[in-house]
Amino acid sequence: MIANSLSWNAVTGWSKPITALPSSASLLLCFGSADLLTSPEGPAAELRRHFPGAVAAACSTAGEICDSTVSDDGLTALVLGFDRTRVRGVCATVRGSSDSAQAGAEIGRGLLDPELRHVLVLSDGLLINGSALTAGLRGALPADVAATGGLAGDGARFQRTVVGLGEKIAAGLVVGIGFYGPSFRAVYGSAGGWQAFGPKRRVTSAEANILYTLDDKPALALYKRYLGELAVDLPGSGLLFPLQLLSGAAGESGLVRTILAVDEKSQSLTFAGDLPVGHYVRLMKAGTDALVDGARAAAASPASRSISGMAAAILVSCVGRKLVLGQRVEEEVEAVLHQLGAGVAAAGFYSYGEICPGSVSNSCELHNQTMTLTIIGEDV
Amino acid sequence: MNSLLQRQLRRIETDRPADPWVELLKATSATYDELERDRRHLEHTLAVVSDELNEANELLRSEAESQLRQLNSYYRETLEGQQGMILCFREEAGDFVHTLCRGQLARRLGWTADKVEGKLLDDFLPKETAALLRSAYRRAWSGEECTFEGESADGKISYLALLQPRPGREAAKEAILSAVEITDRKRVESELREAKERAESADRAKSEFLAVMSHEIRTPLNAILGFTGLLLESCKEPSQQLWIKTIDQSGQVLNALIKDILDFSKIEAGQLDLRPEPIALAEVMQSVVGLFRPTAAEKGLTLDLWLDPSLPPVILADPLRLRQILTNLLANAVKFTRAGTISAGAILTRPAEIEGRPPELAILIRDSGIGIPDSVRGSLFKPFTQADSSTTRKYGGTGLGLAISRRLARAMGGDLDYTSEAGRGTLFTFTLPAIAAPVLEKTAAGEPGASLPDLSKVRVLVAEDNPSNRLLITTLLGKVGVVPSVVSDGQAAIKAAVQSAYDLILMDVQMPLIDGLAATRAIRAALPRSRLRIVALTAGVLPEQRMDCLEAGMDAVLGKPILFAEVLRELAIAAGPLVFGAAV
Repeated sequence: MIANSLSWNAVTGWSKPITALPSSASLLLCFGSADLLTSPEGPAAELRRHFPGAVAAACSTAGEICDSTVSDDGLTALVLGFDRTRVRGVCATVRGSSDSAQAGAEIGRGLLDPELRHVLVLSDGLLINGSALTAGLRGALPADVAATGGLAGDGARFQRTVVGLGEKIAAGLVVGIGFYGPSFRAVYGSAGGWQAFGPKRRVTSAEANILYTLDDKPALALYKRYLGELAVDLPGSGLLFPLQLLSGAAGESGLVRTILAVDEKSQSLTFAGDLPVGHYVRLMKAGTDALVDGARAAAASPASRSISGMAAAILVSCVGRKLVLGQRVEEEVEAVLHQLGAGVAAAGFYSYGEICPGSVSNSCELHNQTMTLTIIGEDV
Repeated sequence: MNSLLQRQLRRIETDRPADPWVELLKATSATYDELERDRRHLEHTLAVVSDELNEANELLRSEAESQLRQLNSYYRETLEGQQGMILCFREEAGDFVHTLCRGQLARRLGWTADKVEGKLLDDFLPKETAALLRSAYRRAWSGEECTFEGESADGKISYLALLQPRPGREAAKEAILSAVEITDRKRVESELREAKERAESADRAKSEFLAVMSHEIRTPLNAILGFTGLLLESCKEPSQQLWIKTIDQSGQVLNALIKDILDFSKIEAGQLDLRPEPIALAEVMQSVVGLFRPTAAEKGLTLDLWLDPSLPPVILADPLRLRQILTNLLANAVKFTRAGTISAGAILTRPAEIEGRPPELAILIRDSGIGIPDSVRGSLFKPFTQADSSTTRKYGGTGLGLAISRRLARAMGGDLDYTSEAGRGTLFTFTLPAIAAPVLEKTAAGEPGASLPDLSKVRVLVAEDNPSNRLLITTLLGKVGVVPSVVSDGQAAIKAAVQSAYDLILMDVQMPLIDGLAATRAIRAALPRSRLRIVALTAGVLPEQRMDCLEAGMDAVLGKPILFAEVLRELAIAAGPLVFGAAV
């Protein structure tokens, strides 16, 4: 198996000459700005043309990761060639969040095969309800097949995300890549580093992933109060305070939910996952060190289960983390790579939601504000 | 070097910008901005969190306070709204101070919270009431649960209080008084008491009425029977003798009726006065049976008497009442039997005490008469009842006899019951405790008249307002040669008694001017050392009337109708021991 990570920016172009890469690659993963991905003459198109036989998947980001470097408005690619593993991609369309579960199910069913070992999911980041998407996937996939991946990003702008398979790159798509064959191995991990603070609040009015009130007060007002002068940067600045969805009134832990959008008119917030009425939530916050520690923890578990022939790592981290970490964002990537050791090609992106097995399911579920990584390889 | 600066330098190296310094400075400036932003954000977050915590705190406090207020007012309203009264107190410097006083009853009593709470008993109660309540407080304070009944100052409200040490606290830190109003209950009690008093007074009135009536009836009856007796002795004309006997028998029936009525009313009023004494049962039975032999013989009936030899010879019983019952049963047996046999007997049914019940004997009276139908079993022992109304007409009688007999038997510790078969006869069983008594010693005092001493020397004063009775007494006395002085009222009696020396005054009780009792007292006062004997002649024979006589200073009481034998006895006693031999 071969694995190469490379990046592109407007100033320096490709970090490695693509002609030097082996043309036998079977999978091409491109993470970058929506414009670069969709431009017919852009670097992404150039890369696809160079590997015409490969399954090519693309996903817009809120920041690209290439090995230990994090950059914006560029492109990162992972070029993978397998010896004994088949790769297949499928694509589903979503017009709105209500299509999410259906899309998840379509992807799952489309990839089904006795030899299916793992699924990589890349989804539109704004039109989708990530909880429903993963629920659909779980329903369709066999229990022993996990799905990992993430939701596409759009910087801190939250305006347009694109996902693509082959030449079809657009908003409102979900792409699934299936890995087939007994030699294929995948391990994964996910961790946050956020801490809940302040009082528990009850979800008093919400519809699916749209939150209206907490303790009968407008949710948006609460966020604005906490953000202070940063409120003008909503919804991006809302990432500073994800919500912890507690398992019960007495619960101390639970899923993390990230803000995707705000609506001044209804004083509502749209989150990357559902917030059921009656559940309790707490605001969360994080410092640089806590996030870096979280990323390290995410890598520690899969690294300890390292597989022979481990070759590539796909990192999906949350845009909220990037916002908090600022110029130190690369520290969390470095922490992950340090855990994995040398010789692993790493690439990934900052997302609007991470997908990985978790406490609810061994198959997959939606995470927010985490560093999620998937390490793939083939038995030697 | 700072790790961030290192990273920034590395980036410049990698990106190789046209002007590295400018880029480095830009990066450094961004770092400052970021740091500044983070710091402000942190401060802001801290402030908001702090504000939120304060708000939550305030909310919690105000909610807690409001809940406390609600709870407080809930308890206060409950305490004040309940009909009773709750009062708490504790000891302080030897007295008791109140910590709580609430409830509708407290308000009605005028024990409002402001008057009572924080105050001592004397601060809101009259001294006497406070003292009473204080002693109840002391008992409660010493750990003893107790009750107290009190009333408002004007007496219009009564209450019942339960006092107890406050539970669940250390030894007597406070005690609780909980009270309910019992004014209504008190009123009902008082009404009941009044009703009872009224009933008792009505009962007394009834007894008095009976006493008066019996007196009023006995007085003329006394004359009738007395003179009838005299006439019987003197009149030898056979046809007239029959008339006189009829008058005599009717008079006796009337007399028996009055006795029955008096007896029954006494029993009903619970005034039955039993005087048990040692008696020889055999003698009593022989004597009573003997009374009925002539009548039985006249009707052609056999009258047998038998006695269980194991019976104790002498038992303890009231001879008068025993005779009364026997007489009644035998009279019935003779009355309701046309032919055949009547047998009277006694057996020992329980020789010794068993399970706390004393030895018992049964007197059995069997007849072969008309019998008693089953239909009247339930009512036979009720007053004024006979087997059927036709028998009343046929056989006469008041129907009181059996009712009285059973009541007497029960009062004596026994019972009276019967078995019967209509047309075949009846067996009455009269049980009685067979309490053995020492054998009687026969006294020398024989029957008066057996050998009459000379009584003509006895000086007698008769005080009697009724002319008929006056004449009867003087006639009777005349038969033994006594010529009495006679007066017709109490005043004259006193005068005569003081002026002349008498051995015996036969004194009527109810007389004009001064009655017999007052006269007796006056005579006793005037002649303190006299051996004069004063005997009442009265139709009033109730026990209390006898008592009145004896208390007034009389020596004996003779009931009317007067029996000649009793008068003789009194004359004999008055004649003194020389004449009669033994004191009575």
